[in-house]
Amino acid sequence: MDKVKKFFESKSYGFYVSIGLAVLSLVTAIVYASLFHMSRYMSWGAFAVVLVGVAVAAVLPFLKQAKWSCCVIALADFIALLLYAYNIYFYVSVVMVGIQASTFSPQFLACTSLFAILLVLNIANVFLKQEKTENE
Amino acid sequence: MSKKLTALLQRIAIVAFTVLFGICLVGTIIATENASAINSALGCQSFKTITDENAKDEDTEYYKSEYDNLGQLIEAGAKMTEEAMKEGAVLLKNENNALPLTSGNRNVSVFGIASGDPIYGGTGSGSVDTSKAVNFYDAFEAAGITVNPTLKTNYTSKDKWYTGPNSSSWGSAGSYNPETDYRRYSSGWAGSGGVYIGGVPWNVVKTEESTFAQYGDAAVFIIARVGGEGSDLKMTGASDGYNGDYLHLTQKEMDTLKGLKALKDSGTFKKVVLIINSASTIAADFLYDSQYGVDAALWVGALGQNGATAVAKLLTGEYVPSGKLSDTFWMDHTMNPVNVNYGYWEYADAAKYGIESQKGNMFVPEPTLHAYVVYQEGMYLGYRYTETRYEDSVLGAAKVGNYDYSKVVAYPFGYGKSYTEFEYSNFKVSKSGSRTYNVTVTVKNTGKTYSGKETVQIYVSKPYGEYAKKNQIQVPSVELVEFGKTDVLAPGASQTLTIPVDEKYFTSYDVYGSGTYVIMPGDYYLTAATDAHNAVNNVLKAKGAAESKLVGTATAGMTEKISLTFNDQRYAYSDATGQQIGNLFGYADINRYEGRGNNSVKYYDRSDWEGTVSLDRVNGVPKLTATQTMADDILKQCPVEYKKPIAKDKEKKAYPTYGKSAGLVLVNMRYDSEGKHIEIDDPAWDTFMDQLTWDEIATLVSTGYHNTALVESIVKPETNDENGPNGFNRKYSQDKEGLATRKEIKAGNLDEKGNPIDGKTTDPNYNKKTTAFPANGIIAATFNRDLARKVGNIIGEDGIWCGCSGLYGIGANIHRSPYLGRTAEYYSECGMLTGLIAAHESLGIEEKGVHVYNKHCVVNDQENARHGVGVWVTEQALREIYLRAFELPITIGGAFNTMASFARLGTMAGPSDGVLGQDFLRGECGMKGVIVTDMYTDMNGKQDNSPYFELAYGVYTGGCDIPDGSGHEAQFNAYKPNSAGEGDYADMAWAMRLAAKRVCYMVANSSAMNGIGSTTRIVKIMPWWQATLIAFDVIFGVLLVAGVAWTVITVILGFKKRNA
Repeated sequence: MDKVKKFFESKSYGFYVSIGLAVLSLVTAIVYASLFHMSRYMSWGAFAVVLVGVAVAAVLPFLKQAKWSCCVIALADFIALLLYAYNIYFYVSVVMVGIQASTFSPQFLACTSLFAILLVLNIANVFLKQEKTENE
Repeated sequence: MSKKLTALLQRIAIVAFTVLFGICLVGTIIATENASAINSALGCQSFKTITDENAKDEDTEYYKSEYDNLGQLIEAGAKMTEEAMKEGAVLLKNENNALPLTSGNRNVSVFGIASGDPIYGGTGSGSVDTSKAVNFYDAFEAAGITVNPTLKTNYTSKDKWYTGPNSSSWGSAGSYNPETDYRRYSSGWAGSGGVYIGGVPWNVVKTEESTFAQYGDAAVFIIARVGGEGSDLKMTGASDGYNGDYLHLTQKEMDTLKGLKALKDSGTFKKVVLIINSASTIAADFLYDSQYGVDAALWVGALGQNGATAVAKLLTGEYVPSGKLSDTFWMDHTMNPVNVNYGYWEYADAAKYGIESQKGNMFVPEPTLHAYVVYQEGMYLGYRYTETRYEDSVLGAAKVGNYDYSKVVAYPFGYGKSYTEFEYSNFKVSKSGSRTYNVTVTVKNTGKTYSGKETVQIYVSKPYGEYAKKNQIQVPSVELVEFGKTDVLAPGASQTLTIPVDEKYFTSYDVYGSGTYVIMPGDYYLTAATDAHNAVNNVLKAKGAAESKLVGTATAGMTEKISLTFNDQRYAYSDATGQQIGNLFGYADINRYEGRGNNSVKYYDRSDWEGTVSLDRVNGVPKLTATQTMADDILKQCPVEYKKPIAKDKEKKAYPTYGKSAGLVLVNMRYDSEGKHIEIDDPAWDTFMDQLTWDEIATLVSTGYHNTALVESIVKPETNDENGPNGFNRKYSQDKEGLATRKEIKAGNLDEKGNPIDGKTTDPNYNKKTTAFPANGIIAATFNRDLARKVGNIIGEDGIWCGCSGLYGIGANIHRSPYLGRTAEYYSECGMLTGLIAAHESLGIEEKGVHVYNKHCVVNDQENARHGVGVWVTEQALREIYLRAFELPITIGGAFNTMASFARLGTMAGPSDGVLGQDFLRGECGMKGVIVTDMYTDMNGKQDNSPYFELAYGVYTGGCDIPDGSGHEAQFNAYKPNSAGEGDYADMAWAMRLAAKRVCYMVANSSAMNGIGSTTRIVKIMPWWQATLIAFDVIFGVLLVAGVAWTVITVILGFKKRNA
């Protein structure tokens, strides 16, 4: 119990945001996969990158490298976003020209929103303090 | 700098450059994958030509422009659009000579939200440039009509009546409120987000009543409807249509007409004039309803660039209407039985056989594999139905059922009034040669005031006798076979027209008897008529029907009876190619398709109207069930997706020769050394094609997104092809190969790449767009071949100047239903009228070295489920209506290319259909150019759609040659020969080579060769956007690396410092 307490005592508020972002990343990956797994727009690479990123980020604190977790999550989520964009762009162009669909589907909006939120929060989180200094 | 600040800056730099680098990199990859499409859209040059100094005097303008500068061309285009509307607008009604508005009686109040926001074209591929378009108000005022300024202000001001949601909100649920949103709108580029009629409630309009009397010479009410690509018009469920019917008057429109009638009755207005600004025909029963009080009605379709000018002049009488309806105006669209069968249905048991598309998921609104529609009406479409059932009704035929013509047809096909009257006389028919009947008729302008033109329509009535009944041949009572138009006739003047009619059009396609076109034994009637209904009345009179039973009148002495004996040989061979004509399309008729299972359909049968025609939209539709053969036939068109590989060669065959240089470049393939044109079957083409490598051929047949591929080795330029059916929608400056740019370069106003030079100015018209013509239904309604050809000439000239050598048009599908979304792009409900007018427009375009891709061959007569809907149709109807519209442009107009339909004939998707492509279009019609698919990139599986066909399969069967897409080379990798030049797919390799040859042949004989001489070389260049993207990639990449390096160095130095 003391070990757990000590572990968290050394962590700053940014670390808790990172935990939240790790959860949100997993949620995003699951939502993306559940909505798109039957679709040609599914990037399993993006899905895998998110999982690997969260896993690595989860391991780093135990290696006393907690301050890098936020960067790993941010980088993984960003790469996933790029892979998602690469796989979905054709759908976007089809909707934009209105040949077949006229409005974006709720599923697309949901996934895009989640990835966008992750991008913004991850960038913000990179600037947050992850561990307390010795004086704190 | 403090450590903290340094760390912060490093972090900011890494984050910023990571994001920028990542976005740029992915953007570059995506853009590069779609480079040809982007080049096409931006008008970027992907190559430059280098010509030997010694050959610079060579005349390389193979297709010369008639115009010296853009100003002349633009002016000619504007005049032509005006001319088209002048002759195409149809005067439906003119009680008490309400029109024209005579001098001194031209103070009018103009009503309708479209008065300030007219319909100029369609949506999607039928959209037209409106930047130069003249609106109603400007046109009226220019014509000397004084309009009520208060109404004008109100209808055009956003803070008055021109109200609606923000652009981004249109189409979203609940954002549009017809009570407060008055403007009309089409949501989405293709209108697929919804089309809104709009309109101002009468009680609101009436608040300005005090201004009406001063402008009371007439109330001009403009009603408008728009449609276009991607979605059909709604019979039910339209957001602001009356009871959801988009083509019925809205409640606001009915209220307005009633209000105007009341004001007319009270003396505020002298008359009510209606302008129907809609390519689609609206239900017109209200024009016979006294409660609405319409005195005059003018159908103007979609206006195009300068149509409004003609409309204004038609109102004042400066122009006299001479247009004739290209479609039937129905009293009520529920009386049109085709509408029962319009849309799509789904095969029962589709899932059982594995053809259930992924319908209902997030991206696919409609099925691509298991949707179907039955053209149950067969031959009885439009006037062929209304007039035939009418004739049978008059003659008391058995099983004609309950049919009251006057409640069905408001204005028949071919109908149109004038401000003057014409009289026909001296009707004679004489035969010349073995098959031409020369119909002579004298037309006299019997009016006293106005000069005008008159269209004489020639219809044939074929015998519906024992032979027809025995062999299930359906015989409409009358069918248009020819037409002629007089010059402008002054009052009292007359003109004798001689109109040759080819006996070929007396034939019927006999599927079950002779399996070819036959002359049936019996009496034929040729009649000169004012419209289809007048024609059938003429024939009825000649047959001895009592005049008292007729609706309308017959014209005496306008019919000739011709008795013919059976002949199944004379027209059994193609005039164009000599190929024997036989049954080809049994697979499109569910009653003949070998995989029909237990399915069968009762097509409309003239001998049993009651038993075959239904007006029941719910139960009156044939239901079909999927079969294993159907599923196999559908799925085989996607060999990779559904793992049904294309068969290997049955025996060992040699592949074509690749890469064997002969020193030939494309320009050499136009004429031989003796100046003789090199035809596509000339052996010289074999030598030429031997030069190409496999990769070059694969690129040629895989590239076609509004272009054809560049091949440096044979000096084949990348070409530009553009929509659309109503003229190119493109800037003259867009493509650097165009005459507009080449002239500017030559004048020193642009550099050799077409970029601006400081201090130099280009022609003020250089950045303007090409001419936009009125709806094709209006072009058809001119019944004027010469005019259609001149329209084509302008489109061709536009192509030369803007740098497009191919037009994705013209649209030759059929107005099967008024609810067709793309009515503005197509011509008529009649295949013959469509074919004849389209032929001459094609001819005019082709004369300029611009090739048409007439679209969409065939049966793309609806937008709903267009991606793969299976159309079941009889071969007789297919040949005599739907294919005739594509046949005549090829055989008469020299149309080079077609665009394949998304729809299927039976199970065969347009671009998969080798029978259609090879046996019909090339074999029977003699088409020489290429077949391009319809937009292919959204049908390649990338849209999460079950693809309806794969390009490799289409090229293999001869159903298509190139995609309207790019980057599909990989589809052909599996068929590539080994390093020894051997393999199992020589048939595929030869098919690819043939498709590539057609592309080369088509381009060699096009305006794309303008500027390319015998010594010209082509060098690929990187377009500016690609260079820019790569530059950004490099910059952000370097900055990212620098940021990381800076951080690492700082960390290392800090670490060393701490440990020191």
